[in-house]
Amino acid sequence: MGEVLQIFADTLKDLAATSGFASLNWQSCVMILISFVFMYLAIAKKFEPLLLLPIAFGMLLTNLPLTAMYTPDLYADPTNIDFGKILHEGGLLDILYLGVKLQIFPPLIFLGIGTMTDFAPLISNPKSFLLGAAAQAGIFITFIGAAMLGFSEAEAASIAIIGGADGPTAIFVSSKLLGGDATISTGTIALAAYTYMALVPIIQPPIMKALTTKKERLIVMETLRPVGQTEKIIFPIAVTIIIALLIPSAAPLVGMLMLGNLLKESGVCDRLVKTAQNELMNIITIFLGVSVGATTTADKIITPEFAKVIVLGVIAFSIGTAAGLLFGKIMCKVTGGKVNPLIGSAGVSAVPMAARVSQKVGAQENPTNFLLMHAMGPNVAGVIGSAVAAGVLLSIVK
Amino acid sequence: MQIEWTKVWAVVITGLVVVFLALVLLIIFVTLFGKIFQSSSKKSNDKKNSTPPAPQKPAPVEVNATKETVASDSEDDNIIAVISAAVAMMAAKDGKNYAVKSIKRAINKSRSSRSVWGAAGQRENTRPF
Repeated sequence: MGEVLQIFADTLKDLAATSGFASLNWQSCVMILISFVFMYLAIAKKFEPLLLLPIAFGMLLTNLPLTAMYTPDLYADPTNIDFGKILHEGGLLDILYLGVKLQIFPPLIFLGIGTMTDFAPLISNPKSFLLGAAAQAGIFITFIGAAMLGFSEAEAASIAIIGGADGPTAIFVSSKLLGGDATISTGTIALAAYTYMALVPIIQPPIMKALTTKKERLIVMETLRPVGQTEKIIFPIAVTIIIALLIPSAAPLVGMLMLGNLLKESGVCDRLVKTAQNELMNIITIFLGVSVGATTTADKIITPEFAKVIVLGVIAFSIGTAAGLLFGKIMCKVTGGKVNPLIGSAGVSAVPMAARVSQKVGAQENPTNFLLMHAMGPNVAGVIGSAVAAGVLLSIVK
Repeated sequence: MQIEWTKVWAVVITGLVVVFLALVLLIIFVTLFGKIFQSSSKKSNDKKNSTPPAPQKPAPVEVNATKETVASDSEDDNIIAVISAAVAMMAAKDGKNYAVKSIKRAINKSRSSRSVWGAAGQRENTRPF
């Protein structure tokens, strides 16, 4: 009997020694608590829940000791990844992360976005492209800030792209540029990007009110001209050709976005459209979120660099908003008061939240003024603009 | 590893210039094909308007309608007919004769040109958050 008890005690001792509890350290505990905070923000505050919740859960899984679901060492050198080793030795999240690292998931998300985007406001008012371009200033000015704070080229570009206010684009750039030696991870960038995208209704209005006069906010814009189906069909094909020829590295994002849009506008691919905007997009969103969340290990989050990313992220958003507004003011002056500068802030691509903010701030001054459709032009131009900016960063920064 | 400042400025200037260049190219293209489509749709509308309208029976209620603003397409003609019919109905009820001399769209620069109901419906559908 004594021997049985001895074996029982030894087994319990072994189990305790090899369990996750024995390997818990304070960093893991802090990371688990941080994942709870993001879960709270996603569930209770509805901060981009479709992506933030999988990201937060991926963060929880990766920081539970001994789960071996994600192994950062396998992705340490971005220029020399041993994919065979990942398939043989990697955990579930390692294998899912291949879709991010090989740049498959973000363009597929763009395919779904394309099927849900209406480019008619942009086609009927092509000058909106300028506002979408101006708002990308946030990306490049933040690059200067990140360089001043001592980040490497790849890190600075990954932080700067947060200013594009586009989650898949930010993940696309950072997953390509960041390696194991980087002080930040794709997960860090995604967390900052999606948190700030959720905070667009809080970040933008004070800047919009500070940079515009009441008279400008009251401007009622002319009704947009109707756009025919043929124009809507030619648009995605033409944009793909022009952008892919000009900036080939932007082709995966812009090409998939435009393919999705062409499927929708053609009117003959209903089944594909339904799949792209529902099942495919939802599956990819889960894979993308949970695997990107897995890259948020303690050594990438409990660092001063993470705090710097958070600060630079809000600066990027604010500069992008301000640049769009200022360009809107210029367009207002040039057109003799026909453009309401408030639509300029929608040039940051957070679709459709940024356009809704323009509508809300405009309606506060004049409840009968409907800026939403006018703001959708710069908003969708911002999606194309941030994809172009991502292509430029990828082609310059090595 | 810190970035050289020449590289920083190169990224910033190249990035801004290329993004603007790409989107300006798109503006040029979209504007051009927009104009082509607008002119072709105008031509097809003109063709429709040039065909002589079928002879119509005179309206039972005589309304002396003169158009000050010239209707450019058949859609405007339909709107004028509907408004005239509504006036004629009112004339029949009142026993008075009304003359539709002109029909102009009311433009109030301080608000969009929508009816109260239209504006309320749109506000409901575009409520931001």
